[in-house]
Order: sequence, then C-alpha cells, then structure tokens
Amino acid sequence: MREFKFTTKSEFETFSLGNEISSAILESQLKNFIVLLCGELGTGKTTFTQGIARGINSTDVVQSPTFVFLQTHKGIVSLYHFDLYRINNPSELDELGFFELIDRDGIVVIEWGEKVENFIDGDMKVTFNKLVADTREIVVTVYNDSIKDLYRRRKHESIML
Amino acid sequence: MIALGIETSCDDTAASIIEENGKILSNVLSSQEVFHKDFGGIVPEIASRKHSELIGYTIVEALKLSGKTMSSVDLISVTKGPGLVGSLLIGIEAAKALSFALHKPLIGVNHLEGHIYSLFLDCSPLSRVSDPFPLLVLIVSGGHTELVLMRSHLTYQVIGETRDDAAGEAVDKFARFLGFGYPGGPIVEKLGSNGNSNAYKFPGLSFKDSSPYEFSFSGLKTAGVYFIEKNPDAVRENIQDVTASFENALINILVERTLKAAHDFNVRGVGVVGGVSANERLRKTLNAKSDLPVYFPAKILSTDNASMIAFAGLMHFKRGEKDDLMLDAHSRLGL
Repeated sequence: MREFKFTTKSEFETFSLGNEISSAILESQLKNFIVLLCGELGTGKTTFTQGIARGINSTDVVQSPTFVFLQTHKGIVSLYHFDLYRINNPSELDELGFFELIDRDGIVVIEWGEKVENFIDGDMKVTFNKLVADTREIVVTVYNDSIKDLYRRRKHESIML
Repeated sequence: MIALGIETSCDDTAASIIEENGKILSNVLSSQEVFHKDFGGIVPEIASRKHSELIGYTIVEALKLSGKTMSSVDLISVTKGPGLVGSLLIGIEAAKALSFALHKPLIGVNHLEGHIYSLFLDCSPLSRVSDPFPLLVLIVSGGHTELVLMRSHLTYQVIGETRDDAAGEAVDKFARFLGFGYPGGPIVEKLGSNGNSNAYKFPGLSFKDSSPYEFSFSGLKTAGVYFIEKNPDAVRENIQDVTASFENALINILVERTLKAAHDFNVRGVGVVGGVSANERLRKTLNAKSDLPVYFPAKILSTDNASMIAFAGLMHFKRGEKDDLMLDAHSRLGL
C-alpha cells in the first residue's frame, strides 16, 4: 500500500489530477481497475471523474450519476461511473446487481466509496478533503503494485507541459 | 384506441392505460401509498430488482383501475432508456412477453420524450393549443437538466444540458446536508414557501467558457454546503429564508437560461417537464418573467409516470412505427 498526497487549488487542477491518474491506470494494463472516491459533498469527486473520462479519450459530458446510479462511458477502455450517494443499506447494492457490475473490463469509479470499502477490494482509494475555499487535499492510496509512482509521473507531466 | 404504458427506468415501477386522445384512464406508481398498503411493504429508495416483484402487480392494477382488460389494449409502450439497464430490462421484458403472447404491437419510448409528451396529455393546457411549434422544452429533474427545441411533433434538438449535476440533484443534496430525507426538493420547497428568497446570496452560474444554454449546478451545490457549515445560526433560526434563497438562486439559473434560449430561437411557447417542474416557485417565476405562454404538466405528471410513456408511444405508432422483440435497453439514450 502506498499513499500519495496532492493539493489542488481549482476545479481544473482536480480535473487534471484525475486525468493524470487515468493515464497511470491505463499504463498498468490491468483489465479491471476499481477506484473508490471518498469525501463529502462538493469536494470534487465528479470533477475528478471527468478528468478520468478525458484520460480514456471519452468525449461524453460526464454528468453526476447520483440519480441513475451508474453512467457508462466508452473510450480507450470503458469507464463505469457509479454513485452510491442514494444507497442507504448494503442490501440495496445486491438488488442493483452492483457486485456483478463492478467486475467488468474497464475502469470502475465509485463515488461515495466509503459505503462499500468493507465489501470490495479496490485497487485505489482517493480521499477528498476540503481545506479552504477551492483548495482540496487529495490523498491517493494505491493498493495495486502495477501502478507506478504517481509523484514521478506528475513531475514528468509538468516538464512535458 | 387504448395504449398500455410501462415505465421502469428509475425508482418507480409504473403502468398506465390511456385513450388515443391522451385521456388517462389509470396511472399507477409503485411508490404510491395505497399501493404499499396493498403490497404490504416499503419499497427501498433505489433497488432495480424490486421492479421484477412489482411489475406484474402494477400492470394488473393499471388495468383494473381503467376498467379495461388486456385484450382491449391496442398498443404496448415501454421506456427503453435512458436509465439503469437492469431496471429498464424488467419493463421491456414484461412488455415483450405481453406483446408476444397477445399479439399486440410493441413500441420502445425514450424516457425524456415521454416527459415532453406529458405536456400533450389530454389534461394539460398545451393539448388544446393547435400549433404550439416551435416550442422550447426545459426537462428538469433529479437526473436531467436540458433544453430541447421542438419544431414539430417528435422532432428534437438538444440545445443545452447540464455539465455536472442536475438541478433536482443539487436541491436534494442541499436538503440532505441540512438533515432532511430524500427527495429533498419538496421539503425545501415547503420550508421556503413563506421565506424571504433574497435574504441570503447564493451564486448563479460561475463558469465563463460555456455555451449560453448550458447549465451547471455543482457550484451552487458546493456554495450551499459551505453556507450550511459556516452559518449554523442562520440555519437554526432562519431555515425558511435559507431554503427560499437557495431555491431562488437555482430557479434563477433555470429561468435565465431558458428565457434566453426561448428568445434566441424565437419560439411560440415554453414547456417545462420533469420532477422539478412541479415546483411552485419555478412555475410562478417563469410565468412572471416570460412574455411567451409557459406550459406545465399536471403536477402528478411532472414526476416519472407511465401515462406519458403510453402517449409518446401512441404518437410514434400513429406514424406507422413499431418495434419487434429485439427491442433493447439503452442506458445513455439521448433525444
């Protein structure tokens, strides 16, 4: 288990971090990759996912799936974007077929991942903490060894820019 | 002609029987209290497999209330998307089974198109307007916020949509953060109905690079959450003003964008559909600010229902369209 800490100062920076992490996931070449997103309302979970979608080259407008529970986006790989906000009881996940759905090939991003942390093995957990105004501390915990050092990747990216 | 409508795209299992002119003979929702009493249980907030338990019962109830029998039904209309595939398939498979067994024509309907056709049902004022086109329709609910231009029946051009949260979702989350249950929209509306909507300032649209018809509610939602955290006194003592002000900010975004589009596209009227269209402040504000006629469905038809699906299906069927048993669910179906 490795932990990487980032500070983003705007929605765009949160989006960009999602985008970079998406590339790191693609590089790992894993068939199924589960990312749990944890954090309060309005801390940037959907924005981060928009960055992941851009990273897989999806041209979709990534809207919040709170109401529909799951939005699927096609790109280099598929992105399954779950939102467990409305789940009050784990038995509802069974009713929805959640545990079968997250087994598919592609990147599985689960907002309100806190609610399933104890039931599924995620490859990565991203925790969003609000510091002040638009500033967020984003902690990325990586459980899967196929993911490279995210700090190095970040430095590399900024040189490229 | 009699049509059966089936709708299972989200939380509610719904069935309806309507006549050809859009007159509703029955409109059954599994969330209705009466239904719970009969069924003997509470349906969870979100649970698609519950649809499979409820679907048969719902259809039978719709037939019973309409006084019709399955053999007198001339068309079966069912929602094919957008929505959760697992939920949609239950409605679709039920519709296919009935169609196959009873040799009835089948038609798949887009849920959003269904909402639009809630405006044309017999009980809606728009059904009595002879030529309403071009018509601008705002679809606004917990899952959708989009502006659709109709130049004639069954033709749609999406001219703007939300780039993050839906309007209803922003209110629901604001309400949940205040400690209220789901759906929070009606609770916020009730609390704020006598409040001062200008007591507190919440932001409007903050992004600059958008198209003039695009929506965003994530910024407002976040501002609402901050406000609650930072102003516990206001929340405790002036909850009526807080909720009224938040709701007002959200409605101003909807109204401003909608009326701009209505003006730019030179339409004859504006329709508003979807769950949030039941909101009284939205209805009043839009009516007050619009020079054009504004149309709303009956409040009971603002939220998801099967009458609108039955009617949209009928419109397609009368044009000679129908589906076969290959009909499938589409989670991200657009208009």
